[in-house]
Amino acid sequence: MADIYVRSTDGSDADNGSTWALAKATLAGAAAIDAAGDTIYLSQSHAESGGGVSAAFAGTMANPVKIIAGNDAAEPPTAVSSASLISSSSITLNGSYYLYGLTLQAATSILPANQSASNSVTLDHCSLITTGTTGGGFFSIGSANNCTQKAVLLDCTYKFGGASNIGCATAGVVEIKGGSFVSGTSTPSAGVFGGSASDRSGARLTIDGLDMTNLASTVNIFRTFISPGLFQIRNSKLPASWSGSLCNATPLATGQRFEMHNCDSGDTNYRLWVQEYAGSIKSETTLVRTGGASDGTTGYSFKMATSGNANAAVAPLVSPEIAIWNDAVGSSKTLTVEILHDSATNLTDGEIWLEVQYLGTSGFPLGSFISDAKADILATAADQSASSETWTTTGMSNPNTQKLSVTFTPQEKGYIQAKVYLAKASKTVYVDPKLTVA
Amino acid sequence: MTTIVSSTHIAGHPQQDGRRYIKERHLLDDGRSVDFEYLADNLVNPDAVMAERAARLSAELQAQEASSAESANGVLPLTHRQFRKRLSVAEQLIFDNFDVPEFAATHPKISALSIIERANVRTGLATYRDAQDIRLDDPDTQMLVGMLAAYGLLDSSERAGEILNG
Repeated sequence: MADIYVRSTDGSDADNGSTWALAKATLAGAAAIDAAGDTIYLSQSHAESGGGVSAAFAGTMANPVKIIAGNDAAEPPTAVSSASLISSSSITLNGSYYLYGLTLQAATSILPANQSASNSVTLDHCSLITTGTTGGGFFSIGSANNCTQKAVLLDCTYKFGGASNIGCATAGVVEIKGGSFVSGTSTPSAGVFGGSASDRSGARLTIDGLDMTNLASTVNIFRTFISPGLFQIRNSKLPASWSGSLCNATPLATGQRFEMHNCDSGDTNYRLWVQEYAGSIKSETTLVRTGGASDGTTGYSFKMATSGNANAAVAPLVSPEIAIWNDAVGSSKTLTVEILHDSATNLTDGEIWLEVQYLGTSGFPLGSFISDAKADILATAADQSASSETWTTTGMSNPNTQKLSVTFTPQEKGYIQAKVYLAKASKTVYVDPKLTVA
Repeated sequence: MTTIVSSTHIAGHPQQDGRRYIKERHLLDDGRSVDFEYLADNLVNPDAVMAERAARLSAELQAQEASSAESANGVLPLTHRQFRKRLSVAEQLIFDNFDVPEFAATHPKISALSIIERANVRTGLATYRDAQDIRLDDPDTQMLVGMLAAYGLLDSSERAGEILNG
């Protein structure tokens, strides 16, 4: 496996790149001669500019190419750098590679994982910057051409050139861990992150620990492109007095789900927002059950609000999974979830129900399933049971407490997982996520 | 051009930390509403947030329609209602009730179709229902209308041209 050196200040793509003295001038020049497993070193003084940059690295998922911005005082470098720069009209990279410490700056598009085959990339401590102010400015991570690929962005920084920038489109599996939007960034007006804008190729985007303080207070975190997928953001800092939306529009189809867990601009640790085709779920801290779910200080419930799209057949609104550890084996257990809504008319088991997975086979961790939904599609719906639990019912005209419950016999120790399904259209129900098992 | 006819907001009860969910509704002139809900602290001016969001929404609606018109050489698309009005009453009856089993079983034009032909029509209707708007020069629209004519579901074979070009 070879080392290839790149330094724009005195390099030449006509040289072989084997030493700093014989360094290549461009990253593309290095990519033209690399082999799987090679390491490409970029000098701290590397500042490449010009027309569109396109580089296809020879690395594979089993043997990626490593591209490292390092101090050229040593050969090979012994210290990393964050001063290397590529500034171009557009930047397109593909292949399997690990990239450390490079600033990718483009007037229009930055495509660091524009794959045509199964590949995997990691960008570590890099900067992605669009300088253009129009809709041509965007990051696109992953490719609609090939979604059997993964991209991980670790502690990277991001900056958009204008509010008309499209934002960051994703395809395949994309993980953003840590990092921030830098001071001076513009905020894409429609939304920052999304799936593929051009096709239904699918994405699973997970964002953890991202500092979005420097985005506008009106930022929409996700935008609903046509691509299906699961889009999650967790433990991230929002701009002060955030008045934006989790996503810029109602998800276009049942295959899109957007989730925000524990993100806020203030000191809270329970904030939840889920948005899908059938409606939304948000954390609620006033309409809560006495003795119900709490973070130790603040009681909370799930406010499940369906849109007109919700239906039992293909599009119920589904709560986040709620899990509880169970030690008891061989004896019957009843699991209960308490609910509250504002209507004199009870909710039926065709409109709201509980689905539970438990370990029901002795000797094997084989999941068993039970639900308190009505028996089948043709069965007559029956009211869910009334509850005597106490809730704070501020502002309600007809507070109605009911409960969802199932009885089963675990045969193995393990987690019991529960979800609440709300299928009645245009209905708001408060769900206490504290499971009761008796 | 779709415009916003009214923008309103309403504040919910206070949460434990004093913030309130603000429900914001922008009513469009085609009857649709675009709704938002966010958690606001006392530093947020809901009127200002609503006005700014209305401005962005208007700009987005204008941009969408401008690109639609440009891609269709300046011709704006039809709504579903406008397209259905191009059908005769008898044609609308078939168009709207094709999937209803009792109607399909007893209507002579539908019952005469083979299983494959019925499946083709259902696929065409599903594509029509999925579309946000209807363009007469769209291949999907032309295929659907052509298929309805070929299967004898329109009043006459000349009706396809009248629907698409009239």
